Amino acid sequence: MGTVDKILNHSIARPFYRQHAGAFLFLFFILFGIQPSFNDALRTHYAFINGMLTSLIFFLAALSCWILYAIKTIFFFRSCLQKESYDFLYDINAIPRGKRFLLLLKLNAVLLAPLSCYTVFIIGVAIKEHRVLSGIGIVSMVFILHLLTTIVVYYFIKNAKSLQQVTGGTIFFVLPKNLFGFVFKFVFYRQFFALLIIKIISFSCLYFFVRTEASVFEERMLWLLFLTMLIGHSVIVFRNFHFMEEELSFYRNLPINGISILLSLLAVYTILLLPEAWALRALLVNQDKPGEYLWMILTGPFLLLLLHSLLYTEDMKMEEFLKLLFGVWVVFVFFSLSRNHWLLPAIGFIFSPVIFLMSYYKYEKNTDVEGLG
Amino acid sequence: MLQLTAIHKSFGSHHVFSIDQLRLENGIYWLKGANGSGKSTLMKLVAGLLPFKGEILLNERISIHRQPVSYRLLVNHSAAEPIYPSFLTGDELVAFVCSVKNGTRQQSEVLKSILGITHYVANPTGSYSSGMLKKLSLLCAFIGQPAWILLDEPFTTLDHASQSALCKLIREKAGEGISFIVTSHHDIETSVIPFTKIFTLEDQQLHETIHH
Repeated sequence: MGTVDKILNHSIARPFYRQHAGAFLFLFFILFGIQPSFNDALRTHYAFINGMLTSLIFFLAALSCWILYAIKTIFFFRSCLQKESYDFLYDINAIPRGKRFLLLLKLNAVLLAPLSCYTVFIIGVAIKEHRVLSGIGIVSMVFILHLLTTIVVYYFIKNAKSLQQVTGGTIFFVLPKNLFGFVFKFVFYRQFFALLIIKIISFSCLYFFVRTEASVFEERMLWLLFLTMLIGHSVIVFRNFHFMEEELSFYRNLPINGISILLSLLAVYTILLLPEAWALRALLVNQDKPGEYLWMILTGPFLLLLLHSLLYTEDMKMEEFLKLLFGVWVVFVFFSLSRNHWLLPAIGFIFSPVIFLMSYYKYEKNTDVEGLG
Repeated sequence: MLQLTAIHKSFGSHHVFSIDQLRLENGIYWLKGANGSGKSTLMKLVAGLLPFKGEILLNERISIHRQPVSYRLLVNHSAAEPIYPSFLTGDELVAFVCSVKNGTRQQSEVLKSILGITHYVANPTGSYSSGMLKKLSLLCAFIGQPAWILLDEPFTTLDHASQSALCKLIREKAGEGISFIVTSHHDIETSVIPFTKIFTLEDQQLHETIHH
């Protein structure tokens, strides 16, 4: 691997996977973890791929998800270039055009690796099912997606400096000028695609699961799915936390009490979970379980608030946060197995303010040691 | 009056500084020190941005730990290298700081005019240069009715006219009873800003410097 390859991988690919580790784990769980066994998971994906090879609509649905993922990588690249600390990447423009394009193509191959891996399976199934022509069609589309993504990235790096002047458009509704408004804007401006992907998966899984026939409907499975979807939102919580501590660090000098901060965050997470509340409403209509519905819509925002509060207990990297998430998930799943489902929102309601108020003013970033000034 | 007692600051095993006892009567103080001596850390600590061991009392009764909200209402801070969300406009930030620090629209308009930021404050902060960001940070530090204003490297990145305007503003506000702690690498003419005392942060200790 050449020096420029290494730099691109270290500065773009590695932070991309590190930042999205939670989302990848969540996706992996959804794609391979919710089936009863590994063989069942393989059978499901075999059926998926077969569907893509035989039905154009099925293929277009899958292609939409891949395009969404490719756009996500493009936006990540763009957000990196907007930072002045990434100005060194500008020097890549000194490399001859062909070589530069090849370097970016290689970088894109790494960023789109999950997509490429899945394509390998598609080729296998296409050969086994004697649908080579359809297989070639899908592989060509994936290759075109690689090329288009690279062209966009190539254009970005060519105009890297001008991207730093792009500061986002205007939001379609007026937000209050306070912490709630700032965090809300942050979610929509900087995490829009992450939010969109999480919402599509979360909404569809819950919407269809809760509509299972009442005779075979399994309440505990719904809780398991719902808690997993909530944990999937942790990437947004993690970024909100870092946004507050880095870009809104001046907030700590303002005369605002902890409860107001907590209420602002609770309002943000409640609004973010409105699609889930909508998806679950069949609990009222189809399953006649108003109690469960109430506990679920209360658990959502309080669990996210608890995760946010836990981040103040120490300066955590994503890897450490993932361990914590697993612990929280296990605890909540354990309580969801009991009959007293009111305990789930109660845990969030009690522990979030306690943990937040105890640790907010004690929190300190480890990296501050480098900036004594 | 600002009173620091048994202050100890470290980052992990790295000891930054200790201050056994420091009593600052109302006035203007200049905090000097070499790069990495801990000036900004001390400013952040007094502003309530960083945790520490010890106690800081304002007017002998408002504790930074026990009355964090009341304390922060009276102590404003302008960072050496201010960072704001790039998608927020200066106006949004100023309006927000005004609302929590009990500032008025008129006050912010006057400050905008003095610091010369009226023409760009409606733009997102992502489009600001470092000097423009600095001015926005300074403006926010003067909002409300603070008892103390902490200015960390206030003259860095400012043009000459803005530096003069800031010195004038400091003198005016000091005349109204507001106290200041200023850190600066630049040599500031004591005739321009009448410092009450000058301190140097050196060898992890704070020393008073005699000035003439």
